[in-house]
Amino acid sequence: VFVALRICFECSPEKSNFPRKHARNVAAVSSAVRVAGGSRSMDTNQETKITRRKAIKQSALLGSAFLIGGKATSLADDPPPSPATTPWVQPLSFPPSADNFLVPALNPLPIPANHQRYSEFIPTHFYDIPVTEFDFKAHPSLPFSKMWGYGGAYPGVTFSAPYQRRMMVRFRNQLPVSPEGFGNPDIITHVHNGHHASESDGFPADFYGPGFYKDHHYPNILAGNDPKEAKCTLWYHDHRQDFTAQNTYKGLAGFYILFDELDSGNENDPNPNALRLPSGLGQFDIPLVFHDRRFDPNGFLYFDHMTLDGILGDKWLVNGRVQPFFNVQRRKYRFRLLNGGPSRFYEFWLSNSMDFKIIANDGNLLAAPVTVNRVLVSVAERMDIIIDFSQLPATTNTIYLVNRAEQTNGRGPTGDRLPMNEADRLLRFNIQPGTVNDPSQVPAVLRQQPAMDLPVAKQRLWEFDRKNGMWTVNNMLFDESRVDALVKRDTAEIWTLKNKSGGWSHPIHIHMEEYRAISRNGQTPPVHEQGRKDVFRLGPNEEVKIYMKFRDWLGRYPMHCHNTIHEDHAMMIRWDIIP
Amino acid sequence: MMNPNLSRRAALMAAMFGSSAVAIAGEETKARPQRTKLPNLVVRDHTGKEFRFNDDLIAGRCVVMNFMYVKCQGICPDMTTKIKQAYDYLAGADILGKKVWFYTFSLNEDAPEELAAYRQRHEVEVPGWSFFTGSRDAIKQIRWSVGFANPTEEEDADLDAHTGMVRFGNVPLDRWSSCPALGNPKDIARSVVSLFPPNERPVVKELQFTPTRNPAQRS
Repeated sequence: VFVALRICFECSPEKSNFPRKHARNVAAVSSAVRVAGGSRSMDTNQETKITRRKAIKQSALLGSAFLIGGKATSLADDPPPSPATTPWVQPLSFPPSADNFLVPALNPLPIPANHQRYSEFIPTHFYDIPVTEFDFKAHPSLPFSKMWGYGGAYPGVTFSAPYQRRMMVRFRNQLPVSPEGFGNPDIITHVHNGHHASESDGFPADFYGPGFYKDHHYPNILAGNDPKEAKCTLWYHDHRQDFTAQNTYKGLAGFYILFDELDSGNENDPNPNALRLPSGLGQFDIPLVFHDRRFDPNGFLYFDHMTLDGILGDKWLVNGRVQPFFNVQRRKYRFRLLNGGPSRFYEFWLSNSMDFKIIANDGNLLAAPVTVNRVLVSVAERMDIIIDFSQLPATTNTIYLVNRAEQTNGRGPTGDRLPMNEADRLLRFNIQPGTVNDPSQVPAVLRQQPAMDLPVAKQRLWEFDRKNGMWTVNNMLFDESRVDALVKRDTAEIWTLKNKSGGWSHPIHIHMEEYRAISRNGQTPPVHEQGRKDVFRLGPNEEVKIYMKFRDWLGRYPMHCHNTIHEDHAMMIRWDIIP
Repeated sequence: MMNPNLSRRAALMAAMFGSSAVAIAGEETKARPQRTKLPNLVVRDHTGKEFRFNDDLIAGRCVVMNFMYVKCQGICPDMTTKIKQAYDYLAGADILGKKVWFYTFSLNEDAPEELAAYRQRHEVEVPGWSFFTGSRDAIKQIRWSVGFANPTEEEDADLDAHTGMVRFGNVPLDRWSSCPALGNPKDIARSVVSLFPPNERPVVKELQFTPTRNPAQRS
């Protein structure tokens, strides 16, 4: 019954009673240096050197502290490992469609004066989405935990719409008033890389409690009315100041997917401009959100309040289920990978090291697909990839999607790569026998990138740091009433994002538009980062320079670290767009 | 009905890890999510009176905690000032020392009388805010237990690098978060307010957020 723990004798927890969860990269200290075998050079995709062998899996490491060093662990130490669960016993599932919540009209009516440019983008589609608490089990052998979800689902209901659909979404807060445990029943919803007006963007201080609703105006316009600015894989989540980590951990996140003429969501599209990528949400176009989670010894979802570095789970949830399987045909599939956080970085591989193609980064189609056999995805980043299962030998009937980034605490990956046979297995693909017709394609040209043609009005430097245990941006702590940068609409700027904090990684997210990385550590960014992005991963002491345009909307927006534990502890600034 | 394998495993795990909510086979329906546990170490307040950290100071309360030492030339004076400003925002709400307690812990084994003098000097001799001292090890255990640590033992022991964070929690609801002490003191006060269920929150005009043009509406 009790099989999950392996014991690590190398780590000697008896030597120190320093809390393991706070200690710097414990496993890395004792790991032997070794070059990862079998992987060819992937310079275009090699962002972080993950080359050393992992001593032991993190879950086992945590367990070892309890088994060997009983007296050594303090109350501040890591929580015990989650109960064992049998993998691959439940199918991959998909949240329901947000279309289930379409209504002919909202009652009471939305208030036009509350929204910028309402009369230009009069809503045509109305969604009335309850945000509720419900019982949910991520695995059949776990008990029900209380979860929160948009549309009563975890992950939340999936929005999918063509560009220019004029949406008005009413998020009704129907959460309990006094829930026990983690989570705060105030909410404010943000569409992550939505190009929306400030008052509908989900500013962290705009939260509201149970019994209230807020109308979000999502006209889904193209930034600058430029078709090159179209986006595909977005997501939405709660952004409540100070409680975003807890509330999203409890389930408040979902997909928001847009289609346009090129990326039309129809692999049989007769339009000659259509890319005809693998299509059909839940069929050959598969959104996957990855959540690492921890469960307490009784099997209930557990959130560690008592760390500021970030929190790691030891269970691998994909679309809310622990280690599901997915039956696939021998053809191309599009997978929309979303790292749903709170703090873990993933280096995705297929267990046979086969190649796949990256077609979009952060929900933005690249100029051309990039062929790789791995990709690093930090918190909140998205990576759309194409896997062609027809390339597998007829004898192969199972492969796994795995994570090989070693991470032993919430600060960021160690830089070591797990050997393939110890990689974290996330999702099993059961390859169905026989050949099938595959009308989809992956064209050599995807979407032209928008020009960086506006003159640069200003350059700014943002330094992300930690002082006296406090997360800072330019030595400042977040204050929603203080404007840390004023930018003029219809101008361009270059921002330099610099991680000064030594041992920490910070995935930096900037709301409002998509931005272009022009350099990473003074060098040309890897090719799959040369498109548009909204999350810029800063490893220790890294620096990324980005080109930004500010179009269409006015008002306040945040920039913040998307390790949600850092975000909740004031690693955020407010910047405003003015006419 | 819970899987019996799970309940056996849960019982085993609970026994191994000292879970307070031990699930015994047949009684699994009583199992509840594990709550945050804090150590029950002995500390003394600025009058010299002894307390058990968990039983006397934490259990059943809303708490606001920070760490300092009397001779600190770094962040402590500013931190104390900001927390006092936060305290003042809440002073009219009739919750301090009744529903909410502020605790400040000495990192440097300061004597009770030194803490008393510090309270006087910084004009924080106010109801519901006590200063505590204890052995260096006890305070370290308390500090770690609320999540404040630096990444190596050397950095963690460096008083100049000590934490400027404030931990706040509603123990009956097991709701916790923390915020930096050196930001806008309104945010510390708002954090305290956020511990209460929305319908029980003290309304303090000065703590309202910048209004949005698109306010939430009552359902």
